[in-house]
Amino acid sequence: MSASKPYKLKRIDENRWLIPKTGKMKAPGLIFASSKLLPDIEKDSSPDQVFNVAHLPGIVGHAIALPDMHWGYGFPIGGVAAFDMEEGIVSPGGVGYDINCGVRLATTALDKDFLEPHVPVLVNSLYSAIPSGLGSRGGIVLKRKDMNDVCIQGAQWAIGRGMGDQADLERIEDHGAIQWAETKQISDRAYERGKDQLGTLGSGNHFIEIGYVDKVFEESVAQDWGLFEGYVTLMIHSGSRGFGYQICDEFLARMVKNISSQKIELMDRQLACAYLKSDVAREYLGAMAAAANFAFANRQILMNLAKLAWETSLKLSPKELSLRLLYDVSHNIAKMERHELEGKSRMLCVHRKGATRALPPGHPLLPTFFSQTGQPVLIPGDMGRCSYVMAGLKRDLDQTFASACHGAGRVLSRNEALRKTKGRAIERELEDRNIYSRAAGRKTLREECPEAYKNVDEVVEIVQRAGLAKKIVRIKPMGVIKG
Amino acid sequence: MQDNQVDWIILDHPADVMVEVFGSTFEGLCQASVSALNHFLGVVLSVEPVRCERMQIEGATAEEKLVNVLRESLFLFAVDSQLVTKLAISCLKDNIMTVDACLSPAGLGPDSIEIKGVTYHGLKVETTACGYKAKLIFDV
Repeated sequence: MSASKPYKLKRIDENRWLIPKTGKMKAPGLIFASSKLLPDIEKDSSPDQVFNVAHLPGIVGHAIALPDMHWGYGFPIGGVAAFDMEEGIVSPGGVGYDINCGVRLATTALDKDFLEPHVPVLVNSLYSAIPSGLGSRGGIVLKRKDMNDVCIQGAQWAIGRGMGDQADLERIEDHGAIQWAETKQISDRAYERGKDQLGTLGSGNHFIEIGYVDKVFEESVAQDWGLFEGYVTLMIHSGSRGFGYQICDEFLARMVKNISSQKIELMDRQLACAYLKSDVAREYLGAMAAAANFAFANRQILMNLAKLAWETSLKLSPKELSLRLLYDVSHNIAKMERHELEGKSRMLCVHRKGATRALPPGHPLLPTFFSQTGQPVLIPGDMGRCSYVMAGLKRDLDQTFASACHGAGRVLSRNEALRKTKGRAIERELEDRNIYSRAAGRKTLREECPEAYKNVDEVVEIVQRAGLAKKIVRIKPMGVIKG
Repeated sequence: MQDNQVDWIILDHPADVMVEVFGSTFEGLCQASVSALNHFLGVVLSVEPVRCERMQIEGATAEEKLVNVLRESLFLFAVDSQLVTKLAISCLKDNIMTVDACLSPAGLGPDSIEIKGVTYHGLKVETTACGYKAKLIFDV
């Protein structure tokens, strides 16, 4: 690390590094990384961003970065920070533009050997059925009233229109709808930007992946969750599309404008925020929840589109496919949660930006069927290697406010990935590994090539060793659709 | 800035798009920033006619004004498929900047990527011997 940094990382143990509290920091920083991963992390400015977040008013515990961390804007990606309800703030930059970008995993009754010869047909069929790619439209066009309904009802809006089962709601974080959504906070511009994007995948790292369970680490939990070795899964990664981007953009601009009147000193303008007790904070949280609910509905619709395309293209009955939602989690969100802190139970505003909630067994927010096992924690890797399903753990809950990593984390910039893959046919390389891919963007597969990401095995090992979650199964990809 | 100098370059960023923009005047800096953004948004469909629009851009600082010009440009592309191809600052007074912008219908191009937002992260408009420069990050 350069000598000019205003902090020095201090090794706590094999999984954790501390940024000690100095100067005007309101809390220390805590980075989860191994000695092997740390050089990659230090290549960019993400530890500086942890340091900056630690200066925000009312922060409690630590400013946290998980092992998939990389440089974002304002908060690092892979960042978690919790704030006191009286003295703390909410920051749109601590949630991100893609509000409630998240991932869901569904199980099927199909085994790998049955599906393997049909994967190209299936991938092509999914690609045709699901609008994907840059600014993808062509989803459901919403009138203003319908948009308001989506923003309040979330996933239930889709289920009420035949896109899924009522039972799915218990398998979605917040039952698929955050209760404090406020439609009056949605601007005409946000409506315009999102009105024809419901039921679309998006681009970049958003994806739909057909995979199979290749390794089971915890047999009993895996069985409880319907995850069996050799059986096929479906993973969907998408968010609130242009609707969420516009809401973040507008509130960020408002908070930047008001920052001096609130007497908040910022290390970076992108950390613009408002005190939780202020009107603008309440309005942002209402709008953010509306966008989060739009995202829950979006993933519910995407899964239904995938189900129909799957059944049609392979001529399977719903029973033969048996596509069942295991869980749906948010990666980008700010929520009021109760946590134990220094022996006291406190309500806090927890920001997760590129991080997953990971509730332990017995947590009151979990439905009964997860109360013995803990919450499923879904960790997509890259499209060439593997993904993991983990379970939340009771141990060391306070240190991350019940959070775990959300993926592998990028290690190469998009430009660097393009340079390193010049002249290579990633599609063919994946096919050589029995992974069939389709991408809407001309350069997407090269930008998203496996080596653009950290090795998820290493990331997940740190999460397990640090006691944040435990491995249940590993999933290998068979077919991928990238936006 | 001299005529033979580029007005923006791409810098490496692990997840997003980072560019450095240059202008001999603040207006030039805004124009270069819009050009950089346009590169990632789409391409002008030149057969179509252009339209002009007057924008009132707020901002207490040069950084806020710059970001707000780009936010407006991004919104116009996202919703109306229009790119700002040329802009002129007709009035710059206190916290308000009046911008006359030429818009052209646009579609996706070979370098198009989904820009979610224009960030303020680390943004500083700096004066140089040749004019102005700034580093911008677009969230993708």
